Amino acid sequence: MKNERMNRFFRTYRSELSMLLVFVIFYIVMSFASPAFNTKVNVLNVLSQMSVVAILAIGQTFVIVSGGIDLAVGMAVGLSGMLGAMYMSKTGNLLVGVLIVIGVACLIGFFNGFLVGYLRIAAFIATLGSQVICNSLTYVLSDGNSYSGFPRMLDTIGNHKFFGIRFYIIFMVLLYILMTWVMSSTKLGRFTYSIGSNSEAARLSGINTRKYTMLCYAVSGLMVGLAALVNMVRLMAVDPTTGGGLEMDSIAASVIGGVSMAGGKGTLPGTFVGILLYSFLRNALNLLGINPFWQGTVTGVVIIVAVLAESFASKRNK
Amino acid sequence: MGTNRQGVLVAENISKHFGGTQALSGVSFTLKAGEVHALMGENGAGKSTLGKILAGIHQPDGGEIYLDGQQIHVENPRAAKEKGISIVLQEFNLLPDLSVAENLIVGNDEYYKFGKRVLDKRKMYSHSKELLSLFKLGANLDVYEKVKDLTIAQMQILEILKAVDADSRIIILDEPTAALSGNEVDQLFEIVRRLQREKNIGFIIVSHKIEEIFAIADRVTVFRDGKQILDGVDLSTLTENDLVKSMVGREITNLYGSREFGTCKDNEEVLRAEHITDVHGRVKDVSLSLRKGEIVGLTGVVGAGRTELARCIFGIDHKKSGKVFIHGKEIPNVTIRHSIEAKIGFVPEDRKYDGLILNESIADNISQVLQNMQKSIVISKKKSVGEAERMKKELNIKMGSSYDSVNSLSGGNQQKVLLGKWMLTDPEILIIDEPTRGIDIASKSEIYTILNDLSRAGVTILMISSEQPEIIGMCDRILVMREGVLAGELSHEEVSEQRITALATIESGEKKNEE
Repeated sequence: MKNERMNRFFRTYRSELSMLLVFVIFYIVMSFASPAFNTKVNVLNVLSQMSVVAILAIGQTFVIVSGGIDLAVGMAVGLSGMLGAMYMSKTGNLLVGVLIVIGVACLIGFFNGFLVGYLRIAAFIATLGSQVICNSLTYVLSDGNSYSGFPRMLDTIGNHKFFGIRFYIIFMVLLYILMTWVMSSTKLGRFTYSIGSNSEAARLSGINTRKYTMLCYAVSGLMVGLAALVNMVRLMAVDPTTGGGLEMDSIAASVIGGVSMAGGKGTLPGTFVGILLYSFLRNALNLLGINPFWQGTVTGVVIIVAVLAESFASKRNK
Repeated sequence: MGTNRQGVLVAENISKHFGGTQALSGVSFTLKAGEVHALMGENGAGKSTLGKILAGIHQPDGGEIYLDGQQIHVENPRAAKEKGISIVLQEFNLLPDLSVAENLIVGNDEYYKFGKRVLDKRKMYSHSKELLSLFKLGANLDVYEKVKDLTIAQMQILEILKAVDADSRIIILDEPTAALSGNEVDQLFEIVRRLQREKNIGFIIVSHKIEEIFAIADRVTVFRDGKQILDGVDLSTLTENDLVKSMVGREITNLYGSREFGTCKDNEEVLRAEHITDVHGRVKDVSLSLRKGEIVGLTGVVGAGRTELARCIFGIDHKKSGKVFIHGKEIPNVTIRHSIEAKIGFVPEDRKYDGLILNESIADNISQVLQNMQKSIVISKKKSVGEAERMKKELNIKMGSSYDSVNSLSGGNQQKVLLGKWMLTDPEILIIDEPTRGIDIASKSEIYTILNDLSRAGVTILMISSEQPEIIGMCDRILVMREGVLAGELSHEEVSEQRITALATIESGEKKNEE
C-alpha cells in the first residue's frame, strides 16, 4: 500500500523530481566550485532577487496549464506598481496604495481573461496587446518619471526579518504553498488542468470553461499585484521600465519546471524548482566571473535542454 | 531460411509487446494474391498491431515477414510503401488545406518540373482526373476540392487512391468503416472489389464488424488476447456465430438482453422538446416526447441532424428556436448546467475528444460532473476515488488504480468510464450518442445490459445510433430523422431495417432522381 503510494508519487512528479535532482547536483557542484556560493548571504540574496519573478511564475503556470500564455505580466507589474507608487508618494497612504496596486493588476488580469475566455482571442495576441497598452499607459501616467518616497510602513513590514529572512521571501514561499493547494485541490485548479487538456470535454461536463479560463488570467493578475508590491519593497522606487522582460523570465521558469506549453501539464512545485535553477544558475555564472554577455546564452541553452529532456522522457514513458 | 506458407505476404511467429502487455505472441498470417483477408478480434486482441507491423509502423520483437517468398524487413512505413505495402489508418494522413489532387501527389517528385522545384499543375490535375475516372469515381470526388471539405468516406477513398497511385499491391485498411454510414460502406466495398478484380490488389481489412466482413472478405484470421485463434480460414465455411465465438471466446446468445418492449406507453412524460431548430439549419422544427423508463432510438443517416438535435436539447449548441420541458416545466434558458440540474445526462459520441480527458486520472474523469456541480470549491480526492471504485464495481470496469490515466484503458472500458461519469449524477434522462462505437462485442453486451438495467430503474434513455441492429434490439420506439426533420416514428413491433432505411433515405433518393 505504502509502496504503491510511493510509486505513484514518483510517477506523477517524475519531471519535477528529475529537475529537483538536477538542481541539487548543480548546487553541490557549485558549492565546491565557488566558496561564496553556499553561504547564507548568497542564498538569501538569490532568493530575494528571484522573488518577483517567482510570484509572477505562479500566475504564468496557471495560465499556461489552461492552454494559454500571459505576455502582459511584466508590463502589468510596471503599470500597477506605477499607479500605486504615484498615489503613495503623493498621499503617504499605504493601505489605499496597496489596494490600488492589487486592484489595477487584477483588472488587467480580468481584462486579459475576458479577451481570451469570452471573446476567444488567441492568448498570445490578446496578452501581447495588453502588454503594449500597459507599457504605454505607464509612460503616459508617469510622464516618464520615476517615483519613490513611499510610506515607511511599507519598508517596515515588507523588509521585516524573521530569523534573518526578509518577510517578502517568506511570503513568496507561503504563496507557493497556498497556490499549490489551490491548483491541486480546488475546482479552479482541477478545471484549469481539464481545460488545458481538452476544453471541449470539460465544457460537455458542464464546466463553464469561459469563466474558468478568465479566472486563470485573473489569478495571474493577482500575482502581478503581489509581485509589484514585492518589487516596490525591494527597490523602494518605481520607474517606467519596471517589469520589462519579467514575462519571459516567468515563462522560462515554468517551462524549466516541467510546465507544458501545450497545456494540461505542470505543477507549482515544478515551477518553483524551475525558478530556483534559473536564478541560482545566473548567480553561479556571476560568481564564476563569466562575462555577463554570455549569461543569456547559457540560460537559453538550459531552457532548450530542459524542454528537450522532458519531451524525450515523456516519449519514452509512452 | 524460407517458409512453408504459400502467399504473397507471409508473417510467421510474430511477437510484440508494449510495456507490460504482450500484444502479440507468436502469431502467423498469410495473404494470397488478390484476396481480401479479414484480420479480426476484439479490442486489444492485437489485430491492429499486426497490421501496423506489416506496414512498418511498429517493429516486431520476433518473427519473420516474407514478400513473394523473400524475407523482408520493414523498418518504417516508407520502406513498406516501396515494397508495395500501404496502410490506411483510422486517423487519416491527409493535408486538410490542400486539394484532392495535391494530396494525391504529395511526396511524388514526378509532378515537379524545372529541376523538380516547380509543381506541374497541369500534369497533376490530368493525372488525378485520370485516376478518378479509372475507378469511375469522378462523381464522388472533385480533384479541386480541399480535403477538409470532404466527407470521411471521401477521405477514405482518397487514402486508398493514394495507395493505388503508389503502386501498392497490398493495402491494409485499419477499421475502415468505423465512421461510415451504411451507404458509404457499400461504396467503399465496391471500390475494394473493383481494385481486387482489376488490379489484383490484396486487401487486409482490420475490423471487428462481423456482418461487414462476411460481405467483403474471402478469408479470415482471428486473434484473441494476442494469440492466434483462426489462421486464414475460408469464410464460406464459417457462420457468424462461429466467428463471434472465436473472437469472444464464449457464445453470446442474447446480445441485447431481455427487454419487455412497450411497457412504458402510459408512463408520465419526462422530457418534451418542441419545435427545435438549430442555428446552422441542420435541425428543422423537430418535436419529441420521452416517457419515464423508455428507451427511444434516434437514427438516420450520418448528417441527418440526430447529434445536432440532441446537442440542442442538452444545451451544448445554441438553438434558434424551440423549447425544452422537463416534467412539463419549461427550462427557460437551456444550458449544459441547467440540463444537468434538470437531471439530464449526455454521453457524447466521441469519447476521446468530447467525452473524456485522456491524460487525466480515471477518478478525476469519472467525478468531473459531480465536482463541477458541488457547492464547495474544495475537491476531495478521497470522494473521487470512492466514486471511481463504486463505478468500477457497478459497471465491471477493468482497470488498475483509479489514479491511472484513462488513456491506459481499452475502448470498451473508456466507454464505461464515460457512462459511469454520467450515472454518478443519478440522471432521470440519459442521452447517449453511439453508445457502442468502436468497442468489442463483450463490452457491447455489457453496455446493453447496463442500459436495460437503468431503464428498468426508471431512467429514460434517448439512444442515438447508426447501427440498426442495436436500435432495433434495444428500443421501445425509434425516431428516424432525415435531412434535419423527423421523418417518422416506428414502434418496436413495426420496426425493421428496411423500414428504417426507407424512412431515412427515400425522400432524398427521390430528389436525386428528379435532378
